[in-house]
Amino acid sequence: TSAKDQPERIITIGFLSSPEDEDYKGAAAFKEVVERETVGRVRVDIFPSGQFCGNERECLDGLGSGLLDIHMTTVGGIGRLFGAAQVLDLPYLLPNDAVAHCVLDGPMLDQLRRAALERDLGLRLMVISDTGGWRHLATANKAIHKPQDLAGLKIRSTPSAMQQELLRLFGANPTPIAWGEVYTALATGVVEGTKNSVQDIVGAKLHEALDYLTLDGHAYMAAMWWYSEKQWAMLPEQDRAAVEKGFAALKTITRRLPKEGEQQALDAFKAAGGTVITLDAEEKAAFVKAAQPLRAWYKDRYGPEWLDLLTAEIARCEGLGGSSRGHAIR
Amino acid sequence: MPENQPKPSGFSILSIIHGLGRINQGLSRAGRTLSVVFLMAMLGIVLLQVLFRYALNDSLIWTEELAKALMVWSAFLVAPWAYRRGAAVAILMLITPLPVRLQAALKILIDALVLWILFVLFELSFGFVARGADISAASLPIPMAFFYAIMPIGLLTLMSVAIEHLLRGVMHLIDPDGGYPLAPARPVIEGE
Amino acid sequence: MSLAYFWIFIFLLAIGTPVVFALLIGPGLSLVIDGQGRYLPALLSRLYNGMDSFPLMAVPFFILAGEIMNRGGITEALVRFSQSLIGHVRGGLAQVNILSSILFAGLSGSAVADTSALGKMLIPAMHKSGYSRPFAAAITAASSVVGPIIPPSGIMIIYAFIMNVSVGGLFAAGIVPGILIAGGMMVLTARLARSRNYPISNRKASLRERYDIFKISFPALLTPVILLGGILAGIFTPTEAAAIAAAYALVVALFVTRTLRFRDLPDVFREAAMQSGVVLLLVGAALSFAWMISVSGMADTIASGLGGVSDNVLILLFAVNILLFIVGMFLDAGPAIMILGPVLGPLFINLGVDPLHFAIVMCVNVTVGLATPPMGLVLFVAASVSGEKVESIIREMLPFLAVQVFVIFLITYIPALTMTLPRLMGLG
Ligand code: NA
Ligand code: NA
Repeated sequence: TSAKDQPERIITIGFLSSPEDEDYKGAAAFKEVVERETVGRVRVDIFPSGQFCGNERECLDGLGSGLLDIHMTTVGGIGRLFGAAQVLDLPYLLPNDAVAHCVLDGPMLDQLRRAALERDLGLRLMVISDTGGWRHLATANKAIHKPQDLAGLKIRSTPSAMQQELLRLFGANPTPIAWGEVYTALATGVVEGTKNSVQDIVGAKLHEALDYLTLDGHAYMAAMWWYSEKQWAMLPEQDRAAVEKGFAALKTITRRLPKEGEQQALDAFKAAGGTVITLDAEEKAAFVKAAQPLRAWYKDRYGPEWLDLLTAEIARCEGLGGSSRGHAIR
Repeated sequence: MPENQPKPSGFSILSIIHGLGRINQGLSRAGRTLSVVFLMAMLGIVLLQVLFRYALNDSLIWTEELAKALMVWSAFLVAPWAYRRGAAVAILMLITPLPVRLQAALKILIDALVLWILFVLFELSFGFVARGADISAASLPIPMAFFYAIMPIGLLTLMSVAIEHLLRGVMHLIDPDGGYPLAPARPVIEGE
Repeated sequence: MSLAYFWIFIFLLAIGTPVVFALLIGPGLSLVIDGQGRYLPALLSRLYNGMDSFPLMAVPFFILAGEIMNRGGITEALVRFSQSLIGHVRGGLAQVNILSSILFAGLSGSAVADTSALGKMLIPAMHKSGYSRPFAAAITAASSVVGPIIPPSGIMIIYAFIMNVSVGGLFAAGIVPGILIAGGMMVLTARLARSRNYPISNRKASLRERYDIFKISFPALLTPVILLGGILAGIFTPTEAAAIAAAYALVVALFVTRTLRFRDLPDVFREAAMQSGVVLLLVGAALSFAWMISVSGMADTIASGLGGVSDNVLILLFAVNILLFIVGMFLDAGPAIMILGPVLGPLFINLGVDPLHFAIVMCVNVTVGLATPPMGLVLFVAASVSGEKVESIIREMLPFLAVQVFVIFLITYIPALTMTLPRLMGLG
């Protein structure tokens, strides 16, 4: 198979997650579809675990320069380049998986893509999928039932201004710790909690140092898959079609796997002696209320358009019956 | 070190080397001094980070990113001085038994290749800095371009040192007794 | 993509190219030859971003702490303390050398720093007391190897950073191998002392004298306690502990022992800035090279080559130890870890070896390589400090090397030796 040995084109995918992650499995599905569709004219190389680029900023730079073809960021990851996209990270807006999928497959995807291209960052948004379910609050020694329980606790978060602001609204002390040091920081008490998906918590063995998991589900873990616009421009029409088919396969698998993984991770958390706290309607309302000012915070910076659009889209999708198929653990 | 060299007579290769040597001496010393200042600042910032988080329970957001940037700057700023003094880790045991002329020729090859890679990286660094103008620092309200600026600065200074090494090497090969001393080589991490 | 970059790199190393440049020129030249210039920006990007890491910050801080301790006489206090404890037994000064290395290891993360600091004091002292210079240099170099094995350790920080294992766990895993190596060397020295009739350096110190010296060296002896205590109490992270170590050494040397003056500081910081700048750039360049290894698929080639040796994990571990030992002869510990860690780690983790266990085996193995010819930085430093030929030091070092190799295989095949402490501390 000389065509396979000497591909006309190599598409390089680089991201930070490990080969255990659903992102890798999604990329593997993409590879299979694209290589099949192009009968070996195109080869797809996948570089997980930061082998190609070591941090979000470096990977995005790689897309911009055309060094890298495909990269996945979280909403927080793209926030420093395209701040308005953080609307998707506003807490307690998206209600459940079904509505989130409906919104992110809807007209908002095209509008976000266009907005990013207009900003001339060299980034083309392909799909918005899932990278691990919902973000929750997890703490080492103190059970959290209401925002006041977080008062004065050092909670690890990224340096992202919006995440910091959210924790401050809860009365916590937001503390940036590099991801590689979070385990030690939690184990020794440098920080007293973190906010991550259950899968990420268990994947990084953080549950060994954590006792409580409060399922507040403050954010949907959207995975934004980007194509280097510089490379996209050089991609022939037929290969573009193959790439889009590949992303469809990627989306299917990366939306299914977190659903399965979440339950397993919850079981692991409990098996390690952890307590899982489900909030009742009243408790949840207290968190939603405490986080409310973040919407004004967002509008002050990025204007009302995206928030209005998102709210309208959520209403449309809920009208389609999204709310009846509610998320199991929110 | 300029004082060990014969005084340049008129306009010659020797006077070019002498002038370049003076420029590089000044640049690399200034870089080294700045590097020390940045190292001290790094230490202060990380201690401040611990103090605010532990003693005041009011974690500082910007300390980590700034300290990291200072570390990268500090490394690149001191590099020209280290390179000029031959203070980079190298394996010399295989070439020391070779004839002196061959050693000098190999040194020219090395310095030429070093100059080439520095130039390639220097050219690329402009795009790197330009793209850094679009992305803001994670915890500070400034574009990453300010942090990235050390790349062209550091690489240009290193190139200037590489040119000096190369000129000295070529002249040394042509005229081994002409007073074009090569930078002394010594293992670096001696911790004297 | 071809493997040309690797052969170019080897050639450049052989002709004396500074390692940091050889790591960049190899991939750069290879990409241009292969017509893959599109990928050149990756070298620049990895160079910057490889250095732009918070855990890596421990490297400049520990270098700074070591420099302050050397200039401030803290190192010397540790030697005197060891001497007051065991200076009176046969071969006592040789034992002092090893014991000082253990104590120094608790403060510094670098074998090279240990060799130069202790060597400068102990090699002349041992020679005066009747030891041969090559033996004095050999024991200094060999025992300094425990520097990066007993925590803290610059090499382990680099491994943890590249391979995403816990720094605290790796530190805890290093304690037992470090003690085994030092203990084995002490037993060997005791036997050599009898058979070669090595001298007794000083009369037995009285309790009063021991107490006086203990008082002087107390602040230095307290450093590991402060670092470990602060980390375990959640006051600072392992990375921040390096900054605390530097600050503590500064305070002790300036105000407690008053052995360092304010006007010495610019010199101390200048030396530390130069050393750490060189090491950090080496790390950045090694990550550019590691990128090339990853993209060229060489990692898979080595992994499958090693995988082809056997499918028995015990035999594979033997093979990888031999491979690492040979690599260690040519490469320094840092670059060896940065280049081979990402290649070998996943291979063994897939075979069911605990990531932390493999990490410690690899770290100890390449650290021992620091003292092996032909490319052993520790060996070179010992030679330059003692003024002896490398060859004559090697001959005296062979028995010690045998002890170290024995310990490598011991920790390879008995995981409990390394894994128990991290598990007890909840870091495994
Ligand atoms: Na150590
Ligand atoms: Na070696």
